[in-house]
Amino acid sequence: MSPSRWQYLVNGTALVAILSVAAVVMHSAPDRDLQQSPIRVAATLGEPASGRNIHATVHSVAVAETVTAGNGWAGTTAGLWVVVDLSVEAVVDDVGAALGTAVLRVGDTSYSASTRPGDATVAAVGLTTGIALTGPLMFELPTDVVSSDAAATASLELATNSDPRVDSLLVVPVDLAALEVRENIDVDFPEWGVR
Amino acid sequence: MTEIPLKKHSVSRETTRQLFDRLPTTWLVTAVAAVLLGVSAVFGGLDEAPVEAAAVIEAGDTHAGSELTLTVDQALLIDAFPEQLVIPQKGNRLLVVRAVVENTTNEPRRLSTVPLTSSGAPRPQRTVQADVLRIVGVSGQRAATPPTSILVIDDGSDKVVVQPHVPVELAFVWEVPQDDVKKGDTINVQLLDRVLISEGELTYGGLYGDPVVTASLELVLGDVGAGVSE
Amino acid sequence: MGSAVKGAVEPAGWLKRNRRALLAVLVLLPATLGIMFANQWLGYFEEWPSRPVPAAAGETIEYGNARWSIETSDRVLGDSAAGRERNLPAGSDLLVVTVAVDPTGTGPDGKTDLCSARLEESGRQEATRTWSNTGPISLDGPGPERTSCSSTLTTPYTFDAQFVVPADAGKASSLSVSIVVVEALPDYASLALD
Repeated sequence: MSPSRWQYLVNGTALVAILSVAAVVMHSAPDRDLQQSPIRVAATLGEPASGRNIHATVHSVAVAETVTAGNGWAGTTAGLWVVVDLSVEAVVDDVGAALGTAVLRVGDTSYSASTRPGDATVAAVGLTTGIALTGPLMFELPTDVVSSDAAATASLELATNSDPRVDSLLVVPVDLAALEVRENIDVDFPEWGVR
Repeated sequence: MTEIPLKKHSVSRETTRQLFDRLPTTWLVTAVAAVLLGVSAVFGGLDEAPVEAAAVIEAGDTHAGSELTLTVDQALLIDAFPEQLVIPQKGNRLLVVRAVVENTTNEPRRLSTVPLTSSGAPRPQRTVQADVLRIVGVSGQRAATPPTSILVIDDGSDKVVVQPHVPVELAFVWEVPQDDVKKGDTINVQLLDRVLISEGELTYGGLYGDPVVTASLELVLGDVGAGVSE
Repeated sequence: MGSAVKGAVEPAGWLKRNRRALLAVLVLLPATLGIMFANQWLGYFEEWPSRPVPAAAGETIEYGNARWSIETSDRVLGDSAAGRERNLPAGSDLLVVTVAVDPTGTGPDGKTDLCSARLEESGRQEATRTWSNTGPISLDGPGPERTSCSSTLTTPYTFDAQFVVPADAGKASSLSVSIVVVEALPDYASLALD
């Protein structure tokens, strides 16, 4: 018995329905960015936060025109220095563990922690398991960005590898616009051990 | 009665197919070629696309590249930077080009240098990261050479990462034999841009092709002897 | 009456009739599953990137081209006088493990094995932690004479592996020292401390 016109209609509708579901599934499948995205851990200023192999507490954030570091380094910049004081340690493993990603994100621009001070900043030192390293991170930012609207919702991102994909990333929101700009900040040399 | 319409249908179909069969291949090929040439004419013809010549600028001019904006100030000779442990081999001096670099992208950009082989020549490798400035024609080398170290003038640090929209004054350092250059010589400095090919499937960060020269300038060498501490 | 008899006979009859088939299923089904799983599990164990060769406290084991054992392990507390002398970070202890090595042979290049030592802590609820003996913390005072294996000695010798660990390492968990000789990977020696 050949299919009636009504059966043709039903088949056609079912086909269109399946095709549209397939299209929706294809377009909403996670792309490479989502598949490889870092695993974000929300943190707050002053509170400890833990990722897979990173445990950090951001103690304070300040803005200054010049910085003097514990090893005698004095830095000037065409913009402003944002100085972050934090304690960081590795949690399970110290193989190749360092603060590889220390990025201050303002709007869609990211600034990396300066390595100009050398040993005086935590960004250059390796980490060890279970023993915290307390010290400063310094970021150079343009003057107008520090007082812009986007600076109120800036965030500090910390991770152990310089490639933050598919590993824990601690995200600490900081309000840069609310900080007063100091003329000079003296920071201590990074120190090991509990505070 | 049903025979006749059927026959007509098949006759017309037959005719079209027969027409195509009888079309000589050469006619078809010529027609397609003519269409392609016509389309290429619309897009500017078959000549080679003209390559933009690199701009020639003066010392002190600001040149905006694709990622970095450079202002090359001066070039000078100096014996060594002892504080920063940049000490040339015996018989060599340092040629320093001072430039103000501003990063115009949204990400910080690391400027690294080319390691030297034991004979003192730059190790031949893909130096996409290092190529921001090159000098040509010093000590008889016809190929443009990238710097052997890059220092921040303010504090002498050699780990140079240029942050977005924060201009920083840098010293690009080359090691040159003492006898090949002296005060008053003219050197040719090339400014380079790197070309982003794609985002990179597995690697983190973009994939870049060979750098292209976007500007060049001539500088007259000064000499500061042993130099003041920078 | 005939149907009642029939009904009483039917179930037994089915089992009896299909006795052989059921027996076959009873044997073959576990065998199939067993073979499938064994294949997968053997492959899993084969492909482990590292396999420990365990040793209990005080035991000597053979690994690579030498025999290994732990001679002594000393814990210098951070708040003791010795700890302060060496400038240990606050809240950390120094664990010095003396490893006795008895080389029994040489590698293909004629040299005895080089090794790297790590301290592993297991048995905690949280993830296992490891420390390397070449960490970024530098201590005051003279360090031990030998901190790693020698590639020239062929007589028994000892080396001291120093680990700076947090004060709670080893409390309520067990510590062991893993010795890795690169040529002997994926096997590594895991010597328990106590």
